Amino acid sequence: MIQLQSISKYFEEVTAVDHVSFRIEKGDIYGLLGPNGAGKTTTIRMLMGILEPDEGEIIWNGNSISREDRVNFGYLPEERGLYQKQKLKETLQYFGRLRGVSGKELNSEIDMWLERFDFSDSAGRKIEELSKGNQQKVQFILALLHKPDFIILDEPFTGLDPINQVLLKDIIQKKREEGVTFIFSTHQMEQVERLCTNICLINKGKILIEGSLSAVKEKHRKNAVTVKYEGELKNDNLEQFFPEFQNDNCELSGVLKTPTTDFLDWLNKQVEIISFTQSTPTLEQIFIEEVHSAI
Amino acid sequence: MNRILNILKWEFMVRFRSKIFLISLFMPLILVVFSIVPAMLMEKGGDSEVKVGIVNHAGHITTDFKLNIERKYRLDDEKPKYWFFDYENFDEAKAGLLKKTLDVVMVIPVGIMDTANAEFYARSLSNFKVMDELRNTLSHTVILMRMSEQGVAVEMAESISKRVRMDSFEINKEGELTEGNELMVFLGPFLFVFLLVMAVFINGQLLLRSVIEERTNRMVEILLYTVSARELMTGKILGLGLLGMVQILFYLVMGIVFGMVKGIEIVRFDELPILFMYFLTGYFFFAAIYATLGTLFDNEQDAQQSMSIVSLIAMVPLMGSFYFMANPAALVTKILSFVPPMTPFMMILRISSDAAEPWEVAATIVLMILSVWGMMTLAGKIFRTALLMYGKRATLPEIWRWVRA
Repeated sequence: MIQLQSISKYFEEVTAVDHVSFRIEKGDIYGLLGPNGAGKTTTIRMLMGILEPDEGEIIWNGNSISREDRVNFGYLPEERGLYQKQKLKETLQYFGRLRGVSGKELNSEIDMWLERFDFSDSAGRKIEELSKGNQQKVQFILALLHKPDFIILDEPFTGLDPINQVLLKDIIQKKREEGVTFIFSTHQMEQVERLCTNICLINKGKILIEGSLSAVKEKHRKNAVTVKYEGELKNDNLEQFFPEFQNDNCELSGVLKTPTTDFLDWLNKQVEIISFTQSTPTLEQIFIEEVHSAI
Repeated sequence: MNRILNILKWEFMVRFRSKIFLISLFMPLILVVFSIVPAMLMEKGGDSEVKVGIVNHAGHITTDFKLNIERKYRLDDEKPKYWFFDYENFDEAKAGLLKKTLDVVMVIPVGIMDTANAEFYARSLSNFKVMDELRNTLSHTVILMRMSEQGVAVEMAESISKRVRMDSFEINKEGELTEGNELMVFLGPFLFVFLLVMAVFINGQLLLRSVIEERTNRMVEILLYTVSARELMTGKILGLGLLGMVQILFYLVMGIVFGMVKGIEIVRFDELPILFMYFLTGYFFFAAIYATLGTLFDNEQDAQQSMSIVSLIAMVPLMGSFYFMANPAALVTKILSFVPPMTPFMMILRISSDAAEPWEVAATIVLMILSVWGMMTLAGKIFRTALLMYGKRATLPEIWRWVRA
């Protein structure tokens, strides 16, 4: 459906995105992950046509992407703003019209969303009178108002209370069932694990891991270990085996960066091992391991 | 096109309904009132009693002088305007001036009949009218006395020294005569240019603020995937241009109504299309600059400095309007008419005072259209790239690179 073919973006001497390629199918929820400054926002801006790639091409439904294709996209950027002095409903109408929806269709769609987000009484209020969380919901409506079939959400849950987070997740799931495709960029790994079908981890503009969530986890399964022991294990000594780990109450867990046997040999000499299990790592563990090992 | 229209409509309506628009609509009028009323008051005289201290070293000349003044200048209730108090020496008179028992002091020297100058003292020299009246009368009195000393009879001396008055008339293109009103002839074009400059700058400033706002609140991110940078810039410039047109139309109607009441022709209707053409091209030229400045700065304070340089260039025709209108054939007037940022204002001044050749009008309109096209192209290139640059100020070499790209 949408395909990035080796796209790159350079700012002066800095390579922000370095030959990134991936493909997203209709109905996927694709998690775009990476530490701060990894190139996620630049990649998203190229997808949205806000920046032009210096190299490579973006393919939409088999053809090179155009601005007209993107009018049917929805986008919730990470850095969000609204016209503070303007009224809620008028702002929604303006953006609806810019994206080609108008008249009765636009108004009924706006009314539906306002009701769904409990804004029916606020339609005539100025944006600045709404709370920060409510403004964020308005921005979410802006991304969905024109019924796009491809939506990019950059950190959509930040600043939302748990009730509204659930509301957002429900809407995303429902839209997905209707065939809408999502790119979802966040640092909240548990949200990615709950929502995403596929993920892509980038760092310093390059892809580190890419694929379905289950395949990525399976690939990292053998390296995630949990050890129960008796004795004393100093954290300083563990850094040679784990980029990140947890070591409390004689229980150690983390994703190994060395072969398991090397670690076990060493561990045997330090403490008495009570149990040793290889577990499926959390996405957070995978993220930290991959980013660290790439350094 | 539809998207440009949507942006245009939004930009227009948002500003049209705001209180700031109402304020900006009346602000230039208030400024005009403030700048004209004192001048008109001064012209009218604001007549009240003036106490004049006289330190006389020249004998009986002051008797004639006082008589002449009393004859000539009266208040509305026929009481004398000037009251004279004689002093032996200047220090005493000066004390009176400082204690405010006197308004002005005149010192008449011994040699006034020959070449010496009289002196005039006041706490402030801003009341030209008082000074003029005293000086003219003193001069007239001295001339009469000189003639009398030469044996010319008083009546004859009066008639010889009588000033020649000149009535002024204006002839329009059709050869019709109207009685001259020098003040309005100057003020009409000046006011029109003043209002145009204000409309250009008020809307230019709104445009700049609107671009800065969309950049700093990151609205550009969700606008730019739906509309191109060029569409955004065009929509904004047109929307605020329409707002400027509404302002100008408002001023024009006010001016015409004022003109009808006063029986003065403020603008000639046959010149309106050309004047509008200059307004439009002038607005678009500056709007392109303002829109670009909006992309280069993160807040209005930072943009202010660059803006003031731009504004200063456009103010030149306004500041020099008296000279340009008085010297329509001067080389500098002609040259400045062909310097694009100044062309519209210079030409409006010159056309309003009937001092522009048809070929100059045609040439400057073509020049402005080409300049607007060039400026818009340039602005479009910078706008597109600079719009998404946050935090970092663009350097001149960078801007030059975008322009060449």
